[in-house]
Amino acid sequence: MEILYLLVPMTLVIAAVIAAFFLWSVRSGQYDDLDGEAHRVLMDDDEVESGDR
Amino acid sequence: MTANQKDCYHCGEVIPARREVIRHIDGKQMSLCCEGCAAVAAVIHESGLHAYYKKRTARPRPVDESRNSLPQAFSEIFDDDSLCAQLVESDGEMSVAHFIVQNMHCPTCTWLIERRLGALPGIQEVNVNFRTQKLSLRWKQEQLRLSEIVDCVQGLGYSVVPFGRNAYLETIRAQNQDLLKRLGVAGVFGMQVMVIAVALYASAWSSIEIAYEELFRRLSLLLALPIILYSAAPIFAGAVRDLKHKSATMDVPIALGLLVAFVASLSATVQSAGEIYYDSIAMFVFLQLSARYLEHGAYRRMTDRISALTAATPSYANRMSDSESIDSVEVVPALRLQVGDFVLTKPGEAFPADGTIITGRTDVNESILTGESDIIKRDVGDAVFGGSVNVTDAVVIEVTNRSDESALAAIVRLLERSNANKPRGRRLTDMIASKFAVAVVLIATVVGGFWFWLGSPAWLAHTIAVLVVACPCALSLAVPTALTATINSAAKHGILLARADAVIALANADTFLFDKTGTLTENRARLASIELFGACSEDDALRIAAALAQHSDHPIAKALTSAQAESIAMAQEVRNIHGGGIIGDVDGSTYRLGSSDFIESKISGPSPRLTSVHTGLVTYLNRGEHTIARFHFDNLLRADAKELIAWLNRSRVHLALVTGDRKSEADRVGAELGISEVHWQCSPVNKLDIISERQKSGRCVAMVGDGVNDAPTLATADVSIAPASAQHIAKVNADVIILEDQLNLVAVARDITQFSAKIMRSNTVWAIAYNMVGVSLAAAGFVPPLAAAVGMSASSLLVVGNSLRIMSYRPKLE
Repeated sequence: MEILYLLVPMTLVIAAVIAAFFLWSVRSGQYDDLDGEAHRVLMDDDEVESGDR
Repeated sequence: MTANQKDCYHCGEVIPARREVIRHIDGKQMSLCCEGCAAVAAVIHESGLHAYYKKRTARPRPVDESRNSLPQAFSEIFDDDSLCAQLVESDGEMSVAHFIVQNMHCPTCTWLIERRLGALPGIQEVNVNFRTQKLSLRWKQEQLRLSEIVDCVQGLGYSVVPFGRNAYLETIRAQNQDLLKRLGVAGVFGMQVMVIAVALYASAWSSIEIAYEELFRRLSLLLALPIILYSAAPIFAGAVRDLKHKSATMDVPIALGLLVAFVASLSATVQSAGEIYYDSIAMFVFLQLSARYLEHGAYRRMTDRISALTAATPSYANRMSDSESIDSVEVVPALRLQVGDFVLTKPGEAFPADGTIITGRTDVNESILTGESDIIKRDVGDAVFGGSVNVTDAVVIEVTNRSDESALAAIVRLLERSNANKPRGRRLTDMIASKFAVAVVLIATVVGGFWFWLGSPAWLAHTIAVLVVACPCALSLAVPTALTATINSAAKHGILLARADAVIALANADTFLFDKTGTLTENRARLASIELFGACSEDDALRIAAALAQHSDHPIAKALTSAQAESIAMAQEVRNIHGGGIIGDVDGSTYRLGSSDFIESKISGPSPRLTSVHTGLVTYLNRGEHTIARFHFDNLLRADAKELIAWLNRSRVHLALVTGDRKSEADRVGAELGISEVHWQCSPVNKLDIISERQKSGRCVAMVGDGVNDAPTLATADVSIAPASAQHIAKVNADVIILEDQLNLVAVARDITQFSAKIMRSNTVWAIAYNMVGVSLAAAGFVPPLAAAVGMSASSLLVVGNSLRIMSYRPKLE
């Protein structure tokens, strides 16, 4: 059971890393438009035929 | 209905007889309903984006019709350098600008616009947000002018309005991010706390070494610290604020429960004895924040939609280079107005920007800003706000705020007003909460005293259990989760609930008042019949009338031109007499087209024919002094008006039609739809009287209307509903906006809010029952920490699950 003395601090560190990662993702605006991406993913580009692109 | 009827390739509308436009696009022959649709379809095919027609899930309005309100050559004003400087943020190389795109109807539109703009040279990044209808652009300005971009979007049949960054909307975004961060932290650390809690609960069955138990308890404390210090901070801040204002809301009992649970657990951890409640705390904060985050998200979606709907519509202003001289008036786009410019505003017009009156005095309707319908007197030196309506006299104002900024300011005032309205349902739970907090403290004191008097060593533990179990988690979720689900679900059906308290008011409404024109009937007039009084044939009369009508934008004139699509004659020397009619020469003789007053004022002696009874809308055509034809018009009823009225009649609400129109027309519509109570020739003041009379007799009044005249009425009614096609000022005053062109969505809105009110009631009853049972058990000493955690979560999840039923609501309007 001595392994707990290693696992417990690791838990703390991992939790802190996950929280920091999450805070970064929120701050960089990744959650600002959740609906738009849902639509965008359905719009394929391959159906566009000869154009000025 | 004829057999060879065709639908427009672009908009899908039935092509009116004799108006078909035929184009060869991609080698195929296409039939379109108007030049606008033809031009847009050609642009879409030329850019290789015709996949749009396969992908789209909703059809646009006919392009010519939706463009009516748009000034021609609107994009040219974006060539103005000083205007560009205002709208575009530039960092040397790249420029950034934001717009609102109007008339977007399905998510494929965002794809179409992004593709089309993305193909232009110099564009770095295009983003169209369908939800907020915002278009954001990053591009190289030396390669592409702003006006070319605007032209390009307009070429696809949309209109664009500049929309700068807005501090208020930014604040809401920041609040949203802040809540999400706190929620995320509560989630991450809460999960760890619960993992450990499981280990500790398991140790009750199979024993665990004291040292490890100690370790786990201290670890729980450490993991719970970010939750209580960071995530729960808004709850404590709210409670402190409420106590300062002596107005107990739900935050107070929640903060009390959290604080007691945490302090008890802390002292138990330090003393290595007693119960810990960290798992309950984590679960509780997480659930609370989730509810708040969802609620805030719904609110944010609502504000985005409102600001998109009410964004400045392109308009023109009468700028005066000299404030003294009326001759110096020059018509300019309102966007070009600068601070210090002088603007002449005539009665009936909206002020194009914020300003101060420098000449004249007038009455102003500010209902757009205040929600009050009163007419306010404004004199020299008084401030007027952009968007408010000048009612009585022409005045000259000096501009104090640019027109786009004035419009933004108006939106912000509007949003703040709707935000200040706390939902009635919430006020009810707040009222319960204030009594709740007092009751909980009393019960806890009695319970603690009782056990202490019995000499039980567990007296403190029992008291703490009472306080923790009494924490109104489920109760605080009962109304907000239901409201959030209702707002989201209504949006899916094309209904925008602009104010949260509209949900309860609409569910309770027992009287529905309807405006007629534009609400129950289409805005378009239709030529019904032609009465002839001379040696003129029906075709000739129509041909001449249409020739004159071409020169007017009046709905009646449009009905005449659309009835005569082919071979419209040319009219010369045409004069438009404001509020009367049109005079012009056709085929060598002078004709007058207009109302009876207009015609009579130009001829000597009243004509006996003109005094005959009027029915409906009538227009006369005169040659010289002789009336040669009388045109009768009617307004088409909306296709689903009958369905809606029948449904409302079945649900036994009181219905009434209030219209400014004459008796015969009002009676016709009332009889056709089955509305027994009809009020005709109502002025806005009459309409207001009708509403307040009902309200005094204790009725809850819902008003459905769309015009400028309806704005005061909409603001006064308990709940007001306006279609998205309504005039700007009506939309601003509406609580519920019907986003799609379907009148029976009013019935859907009513049905969904009634369902939601039912859910709120059952949620509240269940939550109070849970707390009462929980507190009784805890007082008897039967609630260990595990039971407290399970009970709290289960009751909350039940409430949330019940609210989620609203999300899967399907209208059943039988």
